Amino acid sequence: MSGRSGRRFDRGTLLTVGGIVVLALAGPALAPYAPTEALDPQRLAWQPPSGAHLFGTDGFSRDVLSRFLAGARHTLGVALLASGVALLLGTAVGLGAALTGGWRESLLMRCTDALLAMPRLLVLLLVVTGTGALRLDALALVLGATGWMTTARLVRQETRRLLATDALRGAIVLGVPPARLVTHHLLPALAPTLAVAATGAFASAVPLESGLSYLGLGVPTPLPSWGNIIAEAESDLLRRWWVVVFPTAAIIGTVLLANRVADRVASQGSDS
Amino acid sequence: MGRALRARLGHGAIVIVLVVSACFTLIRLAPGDPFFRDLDAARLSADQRAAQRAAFGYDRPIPEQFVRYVGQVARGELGWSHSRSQPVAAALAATLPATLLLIAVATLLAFSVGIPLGAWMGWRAEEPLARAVDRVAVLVLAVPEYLLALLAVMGPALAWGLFPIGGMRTEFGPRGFAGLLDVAHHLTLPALALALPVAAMTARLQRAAMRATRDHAFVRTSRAKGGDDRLARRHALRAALVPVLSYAGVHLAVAVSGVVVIERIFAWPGMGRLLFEGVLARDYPLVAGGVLVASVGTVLGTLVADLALRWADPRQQELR
Repeated sequence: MSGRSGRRFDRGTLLTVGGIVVLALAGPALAPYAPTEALDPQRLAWQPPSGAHLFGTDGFSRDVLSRFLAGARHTLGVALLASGVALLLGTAVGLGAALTGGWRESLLMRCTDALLAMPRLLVLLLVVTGTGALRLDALALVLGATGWMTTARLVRQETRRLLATDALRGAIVLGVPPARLVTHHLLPALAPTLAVAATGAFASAVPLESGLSYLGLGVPTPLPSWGNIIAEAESDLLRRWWVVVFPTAAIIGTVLLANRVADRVASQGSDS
Repeated sequence: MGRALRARLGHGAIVIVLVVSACFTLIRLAPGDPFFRDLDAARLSADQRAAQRAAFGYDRPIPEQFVRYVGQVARGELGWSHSRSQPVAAALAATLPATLLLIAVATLLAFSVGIPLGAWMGWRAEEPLARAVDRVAVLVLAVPEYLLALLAVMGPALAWGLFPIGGMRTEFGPRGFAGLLDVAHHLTLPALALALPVAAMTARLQRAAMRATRDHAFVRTSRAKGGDDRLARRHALRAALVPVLSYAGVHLAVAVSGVVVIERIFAWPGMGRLLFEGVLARDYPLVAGGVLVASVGTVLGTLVADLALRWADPRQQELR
């Protein structure tokens, strides 16, 4: 596994991915303070970075480094779960459409078009209006449920292409049952497409979570996430730069990295 | 032409029907009534609740409610906004012009910068400067929209103090032509913030398309016939506009999402801010109406972009 992926990705990409995984898994354990503990609201609020607080403190005198480390898990976990949900739904709809054909396919794809036309943030706002602040898992589910449409389109297109190839037509002629056709013939061949779709969904979920958190509707406080750490700075982003800079860099880095992985997988798929 | 066009219009109509159904489903999915919960629910007796449910038709069977909903939407009735004490349609109509102005100016800005920039980047893809600009565009696209607005637009504006950072006009400000200038002055920052990511996306798409078109035979032919570089570039650009125009439709849904954030940051009195306030007030009918209007608007916008696409690339007419 590592040998094969070593050829696919350069060392820097792999190291960064590894670093982010470690951050998500071990983040809270590395935190020097409790991420939700207000240390001393009187004297330690809005402290710029120092030896005791490498990333400074926020308005409640909480240690930003600790929140940053603990927040990685929430931000990345929500995005990961969301892209998993999106992948599942998108694959089901895309495969279903391509395999059934006819009016069912048209209906499924028109539904996809309709949901794609509904501005995602507005739909999320509507859901939050109905339910109030969402728990982490619910947030991830809703993000996934509003983000599967591009995957469905990609999967349908690729499945249609695959169904026209000799290998798949042969399998159909030989009487391979539909379920086996999906699990043994289509899904393996779809793997690169799915990888691209999943990383794409991940790359869109990270900034969306932070945007929702900025509006006060994302990961519920006091739980830290990269988005709501930034939101703590409120309107004084420039003067309280230390609250903003580190999570922002992490968000941008994660998105760039996900895009890079998707690009690599996509070019790999077109080579073979 | 006729048949393909009719098919495309029919497709648009089906999508609109589905959007309305999706909105209805979202409204019905809300647990309990969209009207009374939390604090109010405790103070209302069961009888009063039943009366309210009946008054708004919530005691009817779901299919009947759906038919009534579609009828209301067709007549432009979107329900009652309890946080603003006025019909949802009136509240939305009052804020829609400001939002449309913002989106229109930002889109114009984004495409008039993104298309030439991307065409240049694609035509000279090997030059270091073009590559560097492309890197910047990639970076811009990785930054969440609200951070881009706050850091790249709000930051410098605060530091230099050249532009007002909130609102749409100066209170008790000038009227007439000077008033228009005043609005333009207020519009600059939010439009820039909304346009920045769209311009980056447009430029990247245009770059890729231009690079692919650059080496096509018809561009070489134009050169071989003795046409100068400018003419060849123009031929290439028209063909390379296709993916960018098809993006223009998709961009609308993204722009409408962005508007919510941008309007909040710059206190722009548009639909996005209205809907955000609606969320805070838990004004479900208002937010649901906003989603419906924005979605139908997006479908119509995509339709227009598609028709423009047919004009730009006659090959598209035979497809599908």
